[in-house]
Amino acid sequence: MSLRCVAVRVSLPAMDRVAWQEGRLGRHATSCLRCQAETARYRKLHRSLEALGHVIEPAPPSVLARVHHAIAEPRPEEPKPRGPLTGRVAGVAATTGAVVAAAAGTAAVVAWRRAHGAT
Amino acid sequence: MAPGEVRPEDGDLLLRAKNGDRAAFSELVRAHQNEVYTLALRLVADRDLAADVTQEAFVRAWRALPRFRGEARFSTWIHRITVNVAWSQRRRASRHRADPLDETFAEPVAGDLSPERAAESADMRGRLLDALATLSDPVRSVVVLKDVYDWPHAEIAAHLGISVTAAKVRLHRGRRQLRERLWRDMEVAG
Repeated sequence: MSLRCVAVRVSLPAMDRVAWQEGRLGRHATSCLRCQAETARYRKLHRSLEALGHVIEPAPPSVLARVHHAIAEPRPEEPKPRGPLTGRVAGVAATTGAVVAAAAGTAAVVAWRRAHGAT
Repeated sequence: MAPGEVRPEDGDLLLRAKNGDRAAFSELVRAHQNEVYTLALRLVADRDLAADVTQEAFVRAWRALPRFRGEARFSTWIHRITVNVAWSQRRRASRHRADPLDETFAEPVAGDLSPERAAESADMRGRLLDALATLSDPVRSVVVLKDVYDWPHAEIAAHLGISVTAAKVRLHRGRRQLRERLWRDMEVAG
């Protein structure tokens, strides 16, 4: 077996559907009898695999009943959509808001007392 | 119905099923179960496990249906779910060795073969399925999705959680192993 034959044997498993359709084979693969035979085997393998995609196997009759039984329960609750302020963000925002409100209230009380001369 | 063919009635059934109509969903299951089962069978090479995968795929589809936006066909969507379920269930059941398929295989949907060619084709198909069943799960998954279902490498890689290069390597290895097992007595080199 020549190096060219070895190269053909390495390249044949890499040929995809388009390559087979377009007959992308080197000159050696089409002239060497051994490589022709090997190419024919891979072509047959490729066609048989492709043909397998057109064979439909009947599902066992139990499948439909099993699915029917399994979906009898209600669907799990949908996760509620998260708003702009949820979880930790909402907590931080609430705390910040409370601190700001408290500070504003304190400042207002101090300002009122000063304005009215309270001691 | 040929694989991948659009079913116009799916739209109405889908809408009803999304709104919780179990009868409509059962119709969808009835319409797609053979294709889904076939895909599962090709992936896991075990009839009992394929039935389990089919059931689980439809149950997951039912639960996820409210989030299905219809960007892909229902058949495409359920096929993707099936691949994910098959992959996870096969890993779970990996300690159980799959027996080679031993049943009579269904005839092709279409074809005008002569009796001799049909017999030869059926024989080849049986040998091919036996050979596929001997491949490792990761290698068989790639061969089935690429060479039987013509998925793009990128999609195969994404579904199996591997790189595109790894998918191509597995494909190359799988084809070589199939060739070796189908024609054992013929020379293999390279």
